[in-house]
Amino acid sequence: MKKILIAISLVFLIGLSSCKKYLDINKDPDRIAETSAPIDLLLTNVTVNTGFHSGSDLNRYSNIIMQQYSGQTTGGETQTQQYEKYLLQSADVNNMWSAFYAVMLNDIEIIIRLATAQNAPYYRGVAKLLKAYNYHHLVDAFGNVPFSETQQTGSNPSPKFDNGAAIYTGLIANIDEALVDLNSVSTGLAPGNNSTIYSGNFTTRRANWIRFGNTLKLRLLLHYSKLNRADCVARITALVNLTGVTFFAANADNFEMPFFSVTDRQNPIDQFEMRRTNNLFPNKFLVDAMNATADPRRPFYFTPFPFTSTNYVGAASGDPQSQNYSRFHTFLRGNGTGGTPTPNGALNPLPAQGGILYDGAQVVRMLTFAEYNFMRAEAAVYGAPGVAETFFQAGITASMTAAGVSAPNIATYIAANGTLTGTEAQRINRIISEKFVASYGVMQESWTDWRRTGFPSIVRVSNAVTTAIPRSLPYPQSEIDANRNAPPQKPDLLVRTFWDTP
Amino acid sequence: MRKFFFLCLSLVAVFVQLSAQNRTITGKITDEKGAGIAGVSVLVKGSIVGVTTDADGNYKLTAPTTAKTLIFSALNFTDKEMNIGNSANISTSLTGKDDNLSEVVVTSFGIKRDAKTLGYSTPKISAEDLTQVRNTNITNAIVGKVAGVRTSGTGGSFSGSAILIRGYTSMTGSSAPLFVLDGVPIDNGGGGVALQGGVTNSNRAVDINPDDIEDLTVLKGAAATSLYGSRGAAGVILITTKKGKRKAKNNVDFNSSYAVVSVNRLPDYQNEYAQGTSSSSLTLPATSTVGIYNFNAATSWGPRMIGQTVTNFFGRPEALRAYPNNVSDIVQNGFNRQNTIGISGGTDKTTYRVSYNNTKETYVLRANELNKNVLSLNLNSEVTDKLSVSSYLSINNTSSIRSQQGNQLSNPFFRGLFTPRSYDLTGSPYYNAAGGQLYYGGEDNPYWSLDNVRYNDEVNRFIGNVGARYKFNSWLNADFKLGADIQSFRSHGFDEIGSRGGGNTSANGTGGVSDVRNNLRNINSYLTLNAQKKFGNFNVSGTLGNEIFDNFSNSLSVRSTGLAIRGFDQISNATVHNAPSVGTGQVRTIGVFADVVVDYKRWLSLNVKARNDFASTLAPGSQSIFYPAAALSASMTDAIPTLKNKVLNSWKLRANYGVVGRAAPAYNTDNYAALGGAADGFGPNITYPFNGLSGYTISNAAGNPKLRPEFTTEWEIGTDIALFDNRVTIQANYYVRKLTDGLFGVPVSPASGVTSLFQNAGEIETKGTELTLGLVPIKSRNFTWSINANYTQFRSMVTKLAPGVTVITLAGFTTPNIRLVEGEEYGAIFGNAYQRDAQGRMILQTTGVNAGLPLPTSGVVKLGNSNPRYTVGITNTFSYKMFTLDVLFDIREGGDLYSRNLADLRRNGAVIETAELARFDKDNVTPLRNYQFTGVDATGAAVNVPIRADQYWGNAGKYVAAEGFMVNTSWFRVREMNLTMKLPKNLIDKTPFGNIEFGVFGRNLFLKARDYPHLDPEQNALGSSNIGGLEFNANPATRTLGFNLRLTF
Repeated sequence: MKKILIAISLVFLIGLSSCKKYLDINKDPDRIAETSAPIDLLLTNVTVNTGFHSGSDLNRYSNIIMQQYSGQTTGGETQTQQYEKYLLQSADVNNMWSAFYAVMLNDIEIIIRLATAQNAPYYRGVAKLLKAYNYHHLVDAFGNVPFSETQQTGSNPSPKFDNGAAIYTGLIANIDEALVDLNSVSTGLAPGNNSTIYSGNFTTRRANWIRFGNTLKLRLLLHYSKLNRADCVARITALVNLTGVTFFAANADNFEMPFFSVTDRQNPIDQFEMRRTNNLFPNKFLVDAMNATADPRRPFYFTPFPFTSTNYVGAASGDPQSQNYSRFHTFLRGNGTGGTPTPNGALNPLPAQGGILYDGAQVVRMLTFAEYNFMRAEAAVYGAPGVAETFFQAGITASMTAAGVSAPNIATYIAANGTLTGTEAQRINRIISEKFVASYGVMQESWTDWRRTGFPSIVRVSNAVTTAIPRSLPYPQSEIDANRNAPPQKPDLLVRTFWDTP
Repeated sequence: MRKFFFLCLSLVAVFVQLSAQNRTITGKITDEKGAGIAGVSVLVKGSIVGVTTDADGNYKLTAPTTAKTLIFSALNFTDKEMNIGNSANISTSLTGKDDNLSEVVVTSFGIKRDAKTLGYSTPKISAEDLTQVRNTNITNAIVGKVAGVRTSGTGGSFSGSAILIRGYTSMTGSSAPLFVLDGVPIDNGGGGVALQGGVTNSNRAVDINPDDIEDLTVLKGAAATSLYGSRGAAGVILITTKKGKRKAKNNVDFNSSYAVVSVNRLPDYQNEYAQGTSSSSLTLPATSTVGIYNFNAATSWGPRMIGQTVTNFFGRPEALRAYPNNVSDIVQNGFNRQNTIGISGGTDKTTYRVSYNNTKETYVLRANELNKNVLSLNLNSEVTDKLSVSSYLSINNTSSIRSQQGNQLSNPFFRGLFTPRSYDLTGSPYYNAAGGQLYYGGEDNPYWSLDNVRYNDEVNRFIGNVGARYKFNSWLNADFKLGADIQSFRSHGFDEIGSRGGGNTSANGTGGVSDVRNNLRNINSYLTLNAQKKFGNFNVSGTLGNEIFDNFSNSLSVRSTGLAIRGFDQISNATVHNAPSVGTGQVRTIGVFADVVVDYKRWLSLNVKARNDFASTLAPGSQSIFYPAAALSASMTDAIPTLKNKVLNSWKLRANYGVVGRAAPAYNTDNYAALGGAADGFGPNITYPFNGLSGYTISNAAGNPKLRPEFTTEWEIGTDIALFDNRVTIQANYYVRKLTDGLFGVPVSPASGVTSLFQNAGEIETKGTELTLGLVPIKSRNFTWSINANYTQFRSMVTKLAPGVTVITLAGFTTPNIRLVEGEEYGAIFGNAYQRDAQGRMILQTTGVNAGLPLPTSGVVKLGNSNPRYTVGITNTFSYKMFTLDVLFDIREGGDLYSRNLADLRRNGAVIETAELARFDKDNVTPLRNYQFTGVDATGAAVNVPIRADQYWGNAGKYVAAEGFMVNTSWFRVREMNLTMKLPKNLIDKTPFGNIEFGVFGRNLFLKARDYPHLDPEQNALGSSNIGGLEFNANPATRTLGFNLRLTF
């Protein structure tokens, strides 16, 4: 008996003597230490998220506000219908805010740090361009946001909010630094196939990133058009006159991210169609505008309604429950096959219900060659170098080519709609209205254009819950709740960003 | 099973044959005052031969000639043994169990304590009370039985109840108590409810066989639980298993029950108006006709059904009529059947009990079934005079198939509950030629979903422990126990090609398979040294102990989509495979503790305890957690014997103070990077591998090496009073419990780079009162009526969040959601409200199509709180001769719930109240404006705009704000009722049975919910997480009615 007791005691003594080691198990075996995260895998996740989120929440909010998309339903009121009547609530933007700041911008900052430590200027240049791209969307959507004190983790859990104008200055500096990095000669690590945007050998892809950097800078500079026209024109003039500067020169230069015909790897706009049945339809405003010009992009943008016809019908905010509209088509969702309409000619988004089976392998367009041309056209109208009409037509051609329109059809359209005449406002209206059609599915830029120029002339929806069309998004509820340096919530959605002077 | 039963029968029969040599003994058993005692058990020692006394205390026993001793036992009396000798008449009196002979309770680690000297209450539920109504999950059996314990059903099939003892003890984690079986902690994980997808799981207490439980003790306060260490901070449920009796022959107890499970409540539908469009939130030209039949609509705002012919969804002409049963036809009656056989016995040194339980349960929806098999063995032996060993072993197999739940398109009741009144759901085809579905809506057809969105799981579980106790001498012993709880869980989900919801895999219509494997291994051991010695008037007992536990879990889940072959339910059938996800958790703790009790003349007792834990989840150097407890009790009637009189039998005062320290969950001391991905809140997502690439991201939850333990500190005062011959007993407690340095992932600005930072930050304070009242209003010869009532009231206030943090969202949606707000009660419900002016009048729109309708606030405001103000459980027991009737009333006062089902039923025009006022004029075309909101415009002027029914109830009307569907859940229900007939001894004397009982029982037999129409308010979309307040498309609650047979021989 005593032997057993002694044996038990011995076991315990042995156990306790290695107590320290016994308790040293608090490292998660399923994750790697933060400091071990490799730069190439971080960049993959940043580009994937950049592409994805450019086709997600903010894409829907901005394009619903801009009447490119319309909410609909056959059941209870959908969130898209609420957005469409401008019922955009503070908690609706929690997710996108987190995705931008805590996922993309945070990992970008780590990449910049790692690239500096590993002497990899190409990585740093790419990261800084991605930073400028993502950040300017935050400023454009929210106005003043955290910038100077961000990404300090536990040492500053409540970063202050910076003025949007100061952030823009910082972002343009970021682009300039990135271009220096990208133009430098380096044998250090460089992005390759791991970047899902401009994927491929960096020796050939470097030029794309440089062209993107300059075109993005152009976009940012043009955003000053309302705030300070003269300065805007001067800076754009300086940029385009810069020796050796390169911009997008073809659709192949488009800043866009490809997706694939594999579940959970498809274009997010296509995924939303599949997962949120009957939540989004093409908006009546866009469809009617294109109907008016018999726009040859319609067969690529929308399905006909009735399906067997060549008519295109858009939905408007407040329409009765119905599926009797055109739907998003290949331009947003990828190649499609099949499709059998109901007796009244409507299609369901779900292939299993007679909808078209789309492959979802469509890019998310973020900054296109078409937009570049429209920007140059607009700048030229303001007095920057170039012939506005030439760029205007080049923009239409780029957009139609990307959509798949045949050359004769493009020519016909341009012959009818390609001239720029009239007052400055009329010419700007033409440019922005064409840019609006070309920007179908592009995140936020149409909203920015409308806020800068007032074009295209959308009107407040009839069932609006605000007194005017929103000019910015509310701050996220999560940010108000967690950041003690956050400003008070905006009184309404009519608060303007810094470049949107009344 | 049946064969075994008959084998046992025949064995007993043989035994009776052999014992045929008998003699007759008679006698009368009286109390101290000479009155006969009814129902005294008279048993021949070492046998199963016995009778009970009649109402006058007389008995007549036929005993074998070999019988030597009789044992007399009765409730509330001390057992007595008498030698038979040659006597034919043995009469005696029994001594009442006064409070000097109080019961022994097991507190912690097998430490036995005299209940009388305890400074805290230890409510106990006996086997009988637990199993009378044949709950298949013991957590449901605790409902309404103990003061200070609040339970809430989680809804759905086979789920258990969330148990909350004395309020919330964790900021964002679970406040569920620790389950301890025979001294060894066991896992009660699971019980999650699907909010956005998937199925509801059972909490793992379902694996336990209720018939194996001897009793269940609830340790509530910190002073009571402190020896259990960190895991006991939320209270402890101590389960003692049934064991064999010494020197007893093989006793067989057999218990069989069968019950029918039906839906408790289904909505009252309107059957007047057809499927059709709502226009309420929409811009309609004035000429537009509401009430147009529309086969695409999910709503029942169509025309009055008068047999008019329409073209239906299938393109065929159809005369419009109502299908009043189109929803109730989805449900059916389920059943549960439980059979347990236990065989127990013992020699003078060794006892054993073996039992086997088989349970099968179905739900009111087809494709739901739970099967359970539990085999358990208890073995105890005195190896020598000094050494005794014990062992318990239980092997469990629980498997289930389940249908989808929650706010998702595959849930058969997502929109099925408000199926348009004119849609012939029962009679319409729902398969197309290819096997896909035919359904007007965007969601899965309820029947198609039940067939084609499938889920099953299985748990194989081993719970066991071995123990040894060694008596060094009369005052010192050592006790060792080593226990294990080992589980292997697997689940398999299948979404058929064409599923619109893809509840298991989000397969986007391509079909998918999900497989999960989860292994859990909890090893616990303790070693205690126990001493007890008398020093004059002082009785000192002490325990010194050590506990080690090591909890490990590992899960692997894979989700693959894009099925190649319809109906082939295998992961190999998928074409798209996602990176598997792996989750590991391991926590180790070493604890040392001491517990000393000094009592003076058995009336004054002081108990001091302390424990020191060393926890693996804190950073090296700060792993030590120390916490003390003390309890004082004074029996006033013993201290001052003159207090004792005819009215007052006993009076005890108690006070205690305790602290329990708790370490962080695993892996919160460091920062990590992990496989990334992209997702928004709507389903679209990107999963790796993406085009052959992997991607990593820095985890958004930042760790913190500076974590300290959190502490729950509690003081409590209480009293126990017995009056009028113990016919009135009162127990009352008041306590204040405080969580300080509460550990949780504090949300921080995502602009900092992370979304949460693990910290010691929060504080919760709970104040509560609990009362237990025992009453015996009638006690006569044949009839006894006793009442046991308990009252539970507590309020947990969030007194502190992290600096700068005002709100933490625990769960939910943009609106509504459940939050922690500084200065508010735990778990406040927030959502958007109706816009109101300063005087609280609703602001109504005055122009446009929505004139006369309310507006929602743009932000969220507090709408309510899910916690009831109090709960009361009242058990009435009536015994008349061989009949016993138990009725448990369950009363809940207060507690709010956002009911999405209610919202859906109304805004879609499906329920009766939406058709209360005529919707159309006689022409059945002109909409009538019979409704009106009461409110004012922006200037304060009254708005008198009559509106249509669909406007009033619809999306832009009442539904516009979450406030409109906040419902008070106060209820009165007959939670349990059972009528038992115990055949009198004289009837079964000649049978081989020692006891025959028939019972009829029911659960949830009656429900009155004052403010909650159509459905059962006991629904919680957040499962057993202790957080309540949201209901999202819950499946119906059930009522059970069954019968039970219990035999012993």
